[in-house]
Amino acid sequence: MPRGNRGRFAPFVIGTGLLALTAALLAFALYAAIIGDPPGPFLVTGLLAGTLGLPTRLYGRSGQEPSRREALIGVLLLWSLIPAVGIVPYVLGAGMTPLNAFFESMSGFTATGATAIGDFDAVPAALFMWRAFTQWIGGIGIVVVFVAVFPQLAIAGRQIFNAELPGPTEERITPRLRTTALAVLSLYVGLSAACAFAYVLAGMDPYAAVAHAFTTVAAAGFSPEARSFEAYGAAVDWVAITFMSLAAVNFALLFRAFMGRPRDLARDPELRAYVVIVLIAGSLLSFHLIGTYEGAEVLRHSFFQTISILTTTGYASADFDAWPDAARATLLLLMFVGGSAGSAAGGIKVMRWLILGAHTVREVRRALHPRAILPLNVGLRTIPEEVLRAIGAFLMLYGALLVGSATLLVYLGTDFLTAFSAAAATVGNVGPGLGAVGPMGSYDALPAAGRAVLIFNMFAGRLEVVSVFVLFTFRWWRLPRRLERGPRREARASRRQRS
Amino acid sequence: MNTRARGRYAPLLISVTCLGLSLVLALFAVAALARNEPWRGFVVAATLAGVMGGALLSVGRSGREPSRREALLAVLAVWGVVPLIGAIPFTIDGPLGPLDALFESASGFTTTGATMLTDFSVVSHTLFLWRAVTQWIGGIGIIVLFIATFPQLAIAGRQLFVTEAPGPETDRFLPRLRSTAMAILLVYGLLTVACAFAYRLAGMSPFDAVANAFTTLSAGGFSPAARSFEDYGPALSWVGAVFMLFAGANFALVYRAFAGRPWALWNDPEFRTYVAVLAAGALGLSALLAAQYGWGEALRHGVFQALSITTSTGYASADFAEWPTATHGLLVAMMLIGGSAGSAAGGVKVVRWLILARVTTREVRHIMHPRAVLPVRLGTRIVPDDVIRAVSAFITLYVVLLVITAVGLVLLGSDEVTALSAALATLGNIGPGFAGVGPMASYAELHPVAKAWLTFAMIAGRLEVVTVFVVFTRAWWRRPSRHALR
Repeated sequence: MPRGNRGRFAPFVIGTGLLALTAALLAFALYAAIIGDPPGPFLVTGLLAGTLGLPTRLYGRSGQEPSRREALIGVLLLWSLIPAVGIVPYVLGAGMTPLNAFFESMSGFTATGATAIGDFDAVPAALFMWRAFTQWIGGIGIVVVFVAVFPQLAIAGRQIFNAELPGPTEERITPRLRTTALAVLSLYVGLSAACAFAYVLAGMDPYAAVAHAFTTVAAAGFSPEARSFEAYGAAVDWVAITFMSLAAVNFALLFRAFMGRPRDLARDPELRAYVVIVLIAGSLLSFHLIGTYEGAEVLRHSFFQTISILTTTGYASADFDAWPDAARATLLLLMFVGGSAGSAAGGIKVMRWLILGAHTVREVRRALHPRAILPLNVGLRTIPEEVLRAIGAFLMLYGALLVGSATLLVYLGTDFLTAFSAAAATVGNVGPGLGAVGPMGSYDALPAAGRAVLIFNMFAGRLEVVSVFVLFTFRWWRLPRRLERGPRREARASRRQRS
Repeated sequence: MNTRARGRYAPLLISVTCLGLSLVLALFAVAALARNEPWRGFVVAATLAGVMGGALLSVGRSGREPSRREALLAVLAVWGVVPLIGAIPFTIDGPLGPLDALFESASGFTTTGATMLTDFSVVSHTLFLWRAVTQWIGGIGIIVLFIATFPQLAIAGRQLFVTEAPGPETDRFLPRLRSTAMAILLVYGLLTVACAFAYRLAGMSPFDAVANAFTTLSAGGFSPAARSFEDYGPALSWVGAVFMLFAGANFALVYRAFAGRPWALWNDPEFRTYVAVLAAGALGLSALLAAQYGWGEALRHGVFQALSITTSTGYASADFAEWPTATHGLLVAMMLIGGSAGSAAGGVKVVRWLILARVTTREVRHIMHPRAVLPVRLGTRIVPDDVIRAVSAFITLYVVLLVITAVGLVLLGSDEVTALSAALATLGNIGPGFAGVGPMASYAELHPVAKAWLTFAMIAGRLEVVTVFVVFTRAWWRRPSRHALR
């Protein structure tokens, strides 16, 4: 039995994902028919996802604990196959080119929020709702991966970001996956419902409220409005500010706070740093926007945009690309900070910066006392050296991908600012950048090869870069047999016992 | 004796440096007098340096081995005081205001090559030569520091980069400083002379040949010609390229290559990567410039500019700020990479990137095999963990300072491209950037606060950032350290 299950974990995960997608698509076909939009694109895609998903799911088995490689393959394929299937509704429903449709779909499932749609009028309402919904599932998917899967695989230092998770602290992935997913899912759904309700109370129509709630809680940023939040008033903006801030907090921490331990919030070093960053950046923006706006408007726009970019949501309460240079530079910097580690926010994440900062200070002190033994402390925790090394490698790859893709865009003829901000906004899963890809612009303005690279950026950025670069190591492609001597020996031992 | 010598090492080093500087300045005063050019500034500077040197000479003692703190203090003090003295001739004998003069002087001694001069015709020959000589002095100073002192202090991972400093093996601070300095000075001096002759043979005027030779070997980049290498013609670009290649290599290895082990350079992993980076950069630039210049010319500009930027020299064979934006991406990447660790080149340095790349590969492998023990190798050596940690902290500090500087400049009113490239070019000790601070422009248009900040950036970048930031730690300000060097 264990033997036959080898290599069937990834098909199990992908099959389940595709079947869930089928169900969602069929529901959307119904929804489209009810509101009077063509249901065809959703039906076709649903059938496609179903035909792909059913045999895969039947082949897959979940019984055995997956190997590291299988778990990684599962995650990587999930985030490439589902966006690939997601191309179809955009092509059939809005007449987009396959490349743009793939861009839009990837931007959806990675909760990025960068759009390649040029003309918002050509897109039916049901498709906009679907677009928002892809971000919502993408968001919950990545949170589960961040709090349940990557820590086990020790990817990019994640083993210490969620030391105390809801659910049993077992070493195995599958049981943990289930309990954690349930806890996080209930929180996520609760937040989304509250957010939608708050939007309605603040004066949004129900359709827009639901569509925006989907993308607010996922820290994603798609909006059915071409002008994003510029189209709404002050009350809606403050609601969005509240829920964006919540969405970028570590979900495990938030869960504990809701379960009656709100003090944990104040004790968390990452959350504290996050608040400090918001206050500093918001004040800095306000300082530069006095004169552009009047009175309370200054504060609203400054804090809305600070939080929207910092949490990598990417909504715009105004065309921030038209703001003064100093304000734009501040926003560009915020793209690199990112949200908290256990949320759907993208970017480098506050926790990694805290660890890197502590390490740098320690090394400067070592210049004076080279033989001093200085532990690396963040908050009350001592960070193990292997976490530090993993974070260093993560940052290096993140930087390399960013600089590499920006250079390539410049090489293809894009101007500096557009190229750099587009690369930063996609690797960090932020959404809009500056210049031609600003909040009121579209990625359609970039050359086709550039868009293809940015699709990869979103994919790699979402999966913490390192997990994708494993594919590029020589060892990955060697035959798995040699790598999994452990489980095989176990299997042989158990067979011997039985006989 | 022991207790009395404590804390007197820095005064000694400053005093010796000032006396030497005073001597050089006096020579320049005489030369200026003889040529009927403005001379008062040189006399004032020489007197000031002489008085300071003399006064501190009686305080300084060299008897005892300095503590780490003393050694660091001495380095910081020398790089703080010398640019101040060197600025005097620029403001009294030249057209610059005090702040601009300080910037020019710091740009000289840190071998950056960023200039405040807008009108080259009003500057005397003597002053141009002084400007070139500041870079030459700064160059030899920093190479000796990099090869003899910083490895001993284990600054920013340098304990690994130079395993065998030339000269007799000794662990003591001063003897090692002396012997290494002599060996490096020999190679550096000979190469400078060779470079001057080569420039002369290729058709440069005697004055330009000498002035440019001083700034080529120090990877400095000041040129007495307003349009840098643009007006000198093709042959001179190639000569410049050859000597820049040496200027960006590890001088400890160049010394060994000259001392009878010609393969020493090529066997070094850093040198090979350095050549590979240059080749890739040169080809990339040439390909992009072929449409504009035709292949022959494009190759010349590509090779010259790749060398000039990677070695952080900062000469320009053409106004590269006017080149297509696509080339700027490559040039920025090369600015970040920098030259070899044992040269006067600035930037992050090739060997650090090499170590970081190997560490990153190892960590990616660790994902599949979390408990595998995978050493990081550089050539035949294994890179120790403390070097890896120091290198990653260095790069973090470097990038943080870079970003803060760039954002600071934007806040002070520069446009984004000018701000970013000015930050890169000063922190990496390169010189020219793009747009407002391009190779044919100057830094004179910036906000005064920005100028002061960039002066700090040049010095911090020159001293490997970490050295400067030590001053901001609490430990530095505690009672004098009991941790002697050995």
